[in-house]
Amino acid sequence: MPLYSTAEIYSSATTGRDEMPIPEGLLSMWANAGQEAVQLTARQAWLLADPREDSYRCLSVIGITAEGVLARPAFGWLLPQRPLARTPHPLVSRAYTAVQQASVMLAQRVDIHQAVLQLATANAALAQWERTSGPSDDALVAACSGAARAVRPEADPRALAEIQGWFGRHGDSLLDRTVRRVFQATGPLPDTGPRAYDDSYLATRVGVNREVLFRAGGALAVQVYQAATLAHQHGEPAWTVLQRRCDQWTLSAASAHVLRLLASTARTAASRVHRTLLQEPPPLPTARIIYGLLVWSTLDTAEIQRAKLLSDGESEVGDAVLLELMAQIKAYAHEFLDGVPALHVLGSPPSRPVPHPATGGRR
Amino acid sequence: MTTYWSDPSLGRWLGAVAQGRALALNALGVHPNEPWVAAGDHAPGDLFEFLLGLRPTLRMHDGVRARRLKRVTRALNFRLAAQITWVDTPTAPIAVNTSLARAAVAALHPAADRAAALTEIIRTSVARADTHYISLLTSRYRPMRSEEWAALDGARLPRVRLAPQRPVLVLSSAGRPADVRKALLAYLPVIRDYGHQDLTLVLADDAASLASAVQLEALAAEATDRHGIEVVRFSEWRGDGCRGVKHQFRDRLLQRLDRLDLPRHDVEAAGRTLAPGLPGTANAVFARFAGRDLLWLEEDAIPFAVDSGSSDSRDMVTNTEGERVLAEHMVDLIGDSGASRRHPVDFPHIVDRCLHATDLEALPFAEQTPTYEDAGFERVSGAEPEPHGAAGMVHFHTCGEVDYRARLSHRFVMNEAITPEDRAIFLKGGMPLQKGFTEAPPTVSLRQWTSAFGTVVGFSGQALLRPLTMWASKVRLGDFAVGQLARFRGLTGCVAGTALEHHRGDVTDSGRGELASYLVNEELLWPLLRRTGTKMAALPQIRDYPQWLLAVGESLRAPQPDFIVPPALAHSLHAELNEDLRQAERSTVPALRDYAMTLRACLGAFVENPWIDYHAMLERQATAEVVAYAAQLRVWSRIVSSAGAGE
Repeated sequence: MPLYSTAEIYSSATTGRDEMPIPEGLLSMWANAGQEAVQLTARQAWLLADPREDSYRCLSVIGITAEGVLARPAFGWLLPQRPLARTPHPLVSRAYTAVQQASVMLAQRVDIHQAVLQLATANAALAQWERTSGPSDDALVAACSGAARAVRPEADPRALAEIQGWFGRHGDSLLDRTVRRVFQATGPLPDTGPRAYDDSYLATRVGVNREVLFRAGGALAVQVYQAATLAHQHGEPAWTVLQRRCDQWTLSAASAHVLRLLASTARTAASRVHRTLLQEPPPLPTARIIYGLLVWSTLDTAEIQRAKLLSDGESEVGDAVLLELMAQIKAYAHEFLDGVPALHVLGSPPSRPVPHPATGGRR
Repeated sequence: MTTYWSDPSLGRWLGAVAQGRALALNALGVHPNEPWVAAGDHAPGDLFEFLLGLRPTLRMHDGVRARRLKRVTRALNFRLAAQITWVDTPTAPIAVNTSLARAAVAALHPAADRAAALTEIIRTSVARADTHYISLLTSRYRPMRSEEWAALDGARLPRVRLAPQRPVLVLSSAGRPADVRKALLAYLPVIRDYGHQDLTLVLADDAASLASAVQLEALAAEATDRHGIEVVRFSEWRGDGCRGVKHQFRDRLLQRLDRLDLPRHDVEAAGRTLAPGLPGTANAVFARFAGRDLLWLEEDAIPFAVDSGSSDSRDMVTNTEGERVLAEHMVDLIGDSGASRRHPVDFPHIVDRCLHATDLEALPFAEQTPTYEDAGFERVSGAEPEPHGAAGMVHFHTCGEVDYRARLSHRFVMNEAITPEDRAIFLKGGMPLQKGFTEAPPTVSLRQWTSAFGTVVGFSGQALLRPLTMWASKVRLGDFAVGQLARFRGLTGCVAGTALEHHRGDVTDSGRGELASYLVNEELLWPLLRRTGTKMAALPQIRDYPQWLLAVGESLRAPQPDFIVPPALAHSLHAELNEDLRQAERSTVPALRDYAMTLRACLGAFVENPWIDYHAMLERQATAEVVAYAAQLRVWSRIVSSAGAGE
């Protein structure tokens, strides 16, 4: 079967389009399409090819048959999870259109800034809809998720940041929720057994054991760690923003040093941080720094101090060393994340209970 | 038979060691007539020859006597940095005078092999050397002399010293009579009890009021009377309202400089260098006593070593990074278990040995590895085969309320989990923590070290022939800067194998009770030292000291492409301060919220503005300090070369 490009479809269907109404049910048809190729009629194909109807260009035509056109969803994530109502509320329609247009622009790497504005439009429309008519449409949120996910590192960093809600973090914007739900939509969290949780990020320094660390925010730390892993592995926009930010950050070397000291069980780790900072500490991979910052930012240092004091009964100089390191990394994380909680940045609300890492969930 | 003690310098050293040991044993009540001493498998003579440091080793077959002897050697280690170790062998434990054993092995070897043998001994330490050496050493020793028997019996003989001249003891003080009285009461009895009555203690005080001056004069007279040790004031003002000795000395020095037609900037620098205050006092003392051995006594130290009472003997531990770590010897806390005890330390004797027999006393190491506060000597690395030669400075380990800097207190104050009582102590600049040693550490000599005076510091007269100078700065780096100068002039540092107790006062320089002040002054310390250190290291070798000082001054004054305070450091400090403030202000503990309020008031806009501004402020201050130091070094070069220090 010969394959035709979209351009060829454009050129083969250029007549009388103004008279053609938008086919009803097109949206609901998408719902069933999944990743399979779908058969479209010539009329649908014509609509598909209309350059003014960018919102529909999310199917790519892979061939022309006797019945019409064979197409495949180019951006499967744009498809709603279930058929939409035949006549959606105008606000929802507007949001949908805006999101779809933004998605296409993002996916095709054109006019990224415009895409962001489109997403903002969708955000506003949806927020209004939610205020008047209850919870928003899951399909739409899924579409937003996809849009966010379509963004790749090579895109405009400012746009990325905006999409992330990095700069738009004031208030609970759709964009924020979108990014958050990206992670929920990715499927169930992986096994939370011991292998899934690399506690080398939460150092077992002299005097602080894993139990103590876990009590001081372990569940949250594990969740953050897992969300970070997902974001990292899937190259999520949240991660790429963090990565870029970390690479350009004045404190990444300092953070690397503190993390290294925290992760060290050697007595020599007692080196005073600032002094050593003066002698260029060896670099640590950016990803490790980010993991460290995210995970340590979740710990309640007061809880660790308390636990430590309870177990020893007395304070000692070693405590101050540890306190200083923890205070430092928390301060750096606060700045790195602009004071936003780690999970928020990564896009997952703290929802599901996470089993104890040491027992692999068989508590 | 070779008698290694016939070597004159070794012989003199043996004499000094033996006298010191005899006096300490007498104070400990260990006497040749005691039943447990007499009833053993050795003649009492053998035992005392060992205890006096004349016999390198002693094998103990009798377990009970060995235990008693261990207690005695432990006390000697703490009081005298005696460095006696015990080696367990299959037949019986052997006690080793490690310094003597090292020296003897070196001396017994033919000259050609000596270096190699010494290397081996130093590397492995005698404690681990093979039994061949031990049996060889046991058979040769210097017999005890009559005056040593007499000293054991309590005879008060003049102290034998290795230094060509009597050392000068200097007690530096702001001049508050109560503090001075406390310090004199701590130091003088110990000095007297170890028989150093011939020494003079110079009370270098800054007392500015007539009333204080009168009280201090009375105190000095009373102390001289009561302890038989001369106490003289090197002061700003006399009790009769006339200028004190220090004041006169300074005026004379400045007049001489005046005649040299120095630029105005340098004249100001000279005034600052010698102004009343800790650095100015130190500089006046260095200039006035050039060429004499100095024992600088800190007012908030007392000459006692805290022995935390554990009896398990451990050697220095080598960790995975090849550092030799003393931490095993040390506990941070002395509970109320009563196991700990205090040993009076014969510090003038120890400093004398460390300065003038460094190679016999000390294990040579390349450097001290900085620890949390960079001011302790718990970790050293790079064992070196060749001895370093005579040391220029001697430090002691610090125990008791260790002289940690304000950052540690800040951390503890910020800790919500500590008790309110402890927090109150920290907020006053005090320290509810105590450090003791489970074992007296070995004596080491170092090429690279960070000098914090802490307790007592010994300076060699040879090194002070061309006196060092203390950075006249408000940043608390004076003591560090002196050590840095010494180090870059190629002087060896020595850390004596015992500790002295330190108490943080509310008002002294180490615990000034204004915790928040660390925020600027403390943090400039390391960047400033790094800048001066880099500059000194980059200079070509200049043998002439005044020329070298000039060159350092020049290179510090030259425009620099880089920042003194690394931007990342300023950025991280800014981030931490902000986070600390946020945390403290949200705290449920009222004292902590008050602390945050004070902190914010001290810092003003600097935490609210971007960190770049904070960095700019630090950099401005640092630049001013460096420029002032450059001028000071230029002036000091003049003082050293022409103005006639030491009279």
